[in-house]
Amino acid sequence: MIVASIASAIIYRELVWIRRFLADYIVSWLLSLIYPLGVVVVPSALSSSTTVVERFSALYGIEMSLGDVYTIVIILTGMINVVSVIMYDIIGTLFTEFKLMDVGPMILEASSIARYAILNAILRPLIMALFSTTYLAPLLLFISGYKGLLEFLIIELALILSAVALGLYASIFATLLIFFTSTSRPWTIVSVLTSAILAGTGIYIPTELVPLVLRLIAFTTPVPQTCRALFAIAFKGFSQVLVAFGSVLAFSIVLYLGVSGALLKYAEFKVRKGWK
Amino acid sequence: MRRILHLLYIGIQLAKANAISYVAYIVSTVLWLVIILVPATLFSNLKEQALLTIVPGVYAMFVETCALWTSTEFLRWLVYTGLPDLFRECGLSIYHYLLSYSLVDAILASFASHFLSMVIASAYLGIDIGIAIPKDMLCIVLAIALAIPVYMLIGTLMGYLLVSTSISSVWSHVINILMFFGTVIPPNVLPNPWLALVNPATIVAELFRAGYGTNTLPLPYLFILTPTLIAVFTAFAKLIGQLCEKRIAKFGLEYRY
Repeated sequence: MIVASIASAIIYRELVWIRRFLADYIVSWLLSLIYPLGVVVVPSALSSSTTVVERFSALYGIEMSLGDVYTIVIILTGMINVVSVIMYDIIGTLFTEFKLMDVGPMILEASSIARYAILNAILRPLIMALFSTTYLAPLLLFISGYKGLLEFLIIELALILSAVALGLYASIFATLLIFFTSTSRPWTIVSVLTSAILAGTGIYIPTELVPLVLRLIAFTTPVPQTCRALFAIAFKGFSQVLVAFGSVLAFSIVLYLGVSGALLKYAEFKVRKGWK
Repeated sequence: MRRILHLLYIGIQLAKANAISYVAYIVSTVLWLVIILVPATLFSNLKEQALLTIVPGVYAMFVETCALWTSTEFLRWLVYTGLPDLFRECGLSIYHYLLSYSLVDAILASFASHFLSMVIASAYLGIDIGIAIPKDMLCIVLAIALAIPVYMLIGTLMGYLLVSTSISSVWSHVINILMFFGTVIPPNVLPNPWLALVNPATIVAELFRAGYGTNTLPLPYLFILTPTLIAVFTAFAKLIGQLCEKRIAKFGLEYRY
């Protein structure tokens, strides 16, 4: 009963926030168009579109057309939106709630911090991932017709599942920042971590080309595997890539759930004993 | 002159107090840009030439984004701390606040972002980091000389928008997107390269590119335009700063996070 009440409260709040911050979501969709411009149009202007297609095909080992290149770049941009929205919002909101708005006592009276934070980490990404990548539907419909819509649904499923794992991952950092540090500027850590995950994944280039330090940061998340899965979905192949994606995702969710659950329970135990 | 030195001292002290935020901002901005810079370089198959065409734009773009957020910080986020009131009581305005930060933002932080972009992009592409050393220092000096008026102009313009409209962070992000054109996205990508001049930082980016020999607009034009634009941008920044101050005196400031 309590779980259902918390879940409905989180979902209600998220929908209200989406209505309130709809303009921010629209800007994030617009920003998504800068990436294809930077990754395909700029190199095409510097050399030629043929060179870009040849380089792209050579790097991924698949024969592609210019349309394929645009499609995959647009799809992969969805991953950038999901990672930035989830990381900033899950950590930012939890930090604001517990450190600035002081809603902790209310949560402790009604339920438990662990239950609230974990439900928050699972439910909000389901909605946020969908809204931050909605722009993919008309774009894929325009590029591939009705087949594009089916492709969108499969891509959306992969992105949403990955977002849930990222939500739990972000909760680990939120718990550490709120209960185990005295930082007043959580955004410094969130902004560097988010950009390091994305730069470490490579997004538009194979992960093997990324410097090791950044790659290691990215591999603490399921983002590199999700990018591979999105690539496989776009080219309708590599069933083993999808199996690997499923395995990594399941492992990540179990691991993050265990770590964040343990950290949150320990924090709650200390907070109930009067620990600030 | 003494007043300017005092302002620069204040700016350096404020920046020192926010050193961690500066480092985080520089590192995260560069890592975000790397997501575009590296594939753009890699897919063009031009390696060094592409890198030296795209990355110098980071300097100019960073100057603009610093101006945008410094202005927002002064007229929005810091209102509740009373710092803008303190400045205004001393007869200083947004223009002076930007001037105090100009050395740190338009030179130190922007240079740091440029070189960090070069270092990270070189690590990705396996290119010798030695290419980060400019060939023509005169162009780089001119770029810096123009970067400060551009920083002041963009900052005061943003300030005027903040005090005269209910502009939200959404618009700041839209403006941020537009700053890509002419800087990280070189002018020759546009249908008419001169269209990029709508962005005041385009010439800064082009001069920086000229420092590496990869400018896309003709160098003689850049040399003619630079002193003219320094004078025009400085005058406009001063004027807009005064308009901004008049507006604040009449309508006050609104705190919004």
